[in-house]
Amino acid sequence: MTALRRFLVQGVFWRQLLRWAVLNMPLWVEPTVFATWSVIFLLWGPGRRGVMSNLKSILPGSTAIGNFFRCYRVFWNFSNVIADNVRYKELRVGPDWEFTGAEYFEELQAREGGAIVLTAHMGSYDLGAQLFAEIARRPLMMVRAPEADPDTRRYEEELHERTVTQALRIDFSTRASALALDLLHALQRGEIIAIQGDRVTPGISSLPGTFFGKRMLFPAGPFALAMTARVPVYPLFIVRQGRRRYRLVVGKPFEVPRLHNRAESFERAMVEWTRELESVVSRSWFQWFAFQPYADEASS
Amino acid sequence: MRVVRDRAEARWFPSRHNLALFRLAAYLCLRRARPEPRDGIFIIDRHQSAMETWLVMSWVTMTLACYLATTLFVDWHLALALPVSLPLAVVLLEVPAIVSALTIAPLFARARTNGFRVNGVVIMLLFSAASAYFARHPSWIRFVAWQFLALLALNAIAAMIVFPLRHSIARLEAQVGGASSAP
Repeated sequence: MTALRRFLVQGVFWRQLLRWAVLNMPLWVEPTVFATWSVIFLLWGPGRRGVMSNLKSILPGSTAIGNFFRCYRVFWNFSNVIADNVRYKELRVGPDWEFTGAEYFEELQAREGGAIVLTAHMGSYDLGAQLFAEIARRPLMMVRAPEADPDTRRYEEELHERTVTQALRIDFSTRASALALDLLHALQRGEIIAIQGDRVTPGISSLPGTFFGKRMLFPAGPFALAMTARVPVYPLFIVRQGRRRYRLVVGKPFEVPRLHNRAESFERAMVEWTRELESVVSRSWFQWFAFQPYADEASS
Repeated sequence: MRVVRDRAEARWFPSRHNLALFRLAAYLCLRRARPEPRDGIFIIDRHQSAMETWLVMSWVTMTLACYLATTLFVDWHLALALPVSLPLAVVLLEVPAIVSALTIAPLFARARTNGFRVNGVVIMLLFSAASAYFARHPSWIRFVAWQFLALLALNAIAAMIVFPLRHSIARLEAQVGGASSAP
């Protein structure tokens, strides 16, 4: 079973195969590879059902057959994004970038104190962080969920060690309490911290919110940190526009006010965050790589 | 990694294109382009052009689909054989790339040549050989084969034009800008 584990959906075999393909497939053959693999992804039942369930909420009135083909588009984009990510790490070749909300991005860089960049599973989180680290004048600390499979985790960590720069640090959200203190100190030193705000990993405290009319759980950490460190939260999304072309979307920053009633404070922040997230996901639903039904997560 | 910031006309840089035909077309576009200040970052890499990738992929896939239609589905009506061949071509196009990556590309590993470049050349050679074979067929497929060979010849002519222009291209690109980002 251990030997077969590498072939499971989150197994290391697929990461290695992807790396091999990126290094060996002629660039003009790549779209055919993505087209084929996106069909194979469609055989992954739980992922397909998760995307289709989410699409039903995001696009009210959409039909199951329509969402099946939309699901293909999500997988197509996902294939492109993970390949772009590997290409950047292995060959240092990135995509073209466009910007929306450049004024907020400038404001973020010009800030004296720390800030939290709240993002989602859209486009390439890693590519965005690398870009940010290259063009921003300040270092970025990225917090991400570790890979579930130990071999995959080791593989990703080795890859990360080869590509690490001074401008970008990555930490994993497993050691919640120790990491919270590290992050608080980093914010107090004036650093920028990027956290994903659309998925709750096991063992992480959560806050309820409403997303496209359904209850969804969001990680509480970024909001608690913003409140404690008194720093603003900048919504930031990476949206794939086409072949090797991405858009960095930066939303209006918001604060998590310190009120007598903490729940009310979090609720206000959650409304701001879900508004931004809904706005981007409704326009770019084919870019939201959430493979589990978000409403089910909340109910369980 | 070389980048150009905030100049949208950088998308026409010949060095963002791979095949000589596209490099030449990009050079002509860049000469006529007006400054387009726009927030953005443009990466200078020879495989960056989406249009080139899609056109070359479509051209090669459709040519392969025609070859498949005339060999595997020779008894079928063309209107049926071609649509069936197309998805098959999409999958089969990967086979020579995989075989080449496992057998030929490792021979060039010491030369630090990227595997995808070697495999691209191998596939093009295979297509040229197949086209030379089909060009002598009496059926309609000879026209497909001849267009493939004609476009290859056109690309070779474009390469002969682009090569002496390389200094002029470099000057033109330098006028627009370009900087190396952190490695």
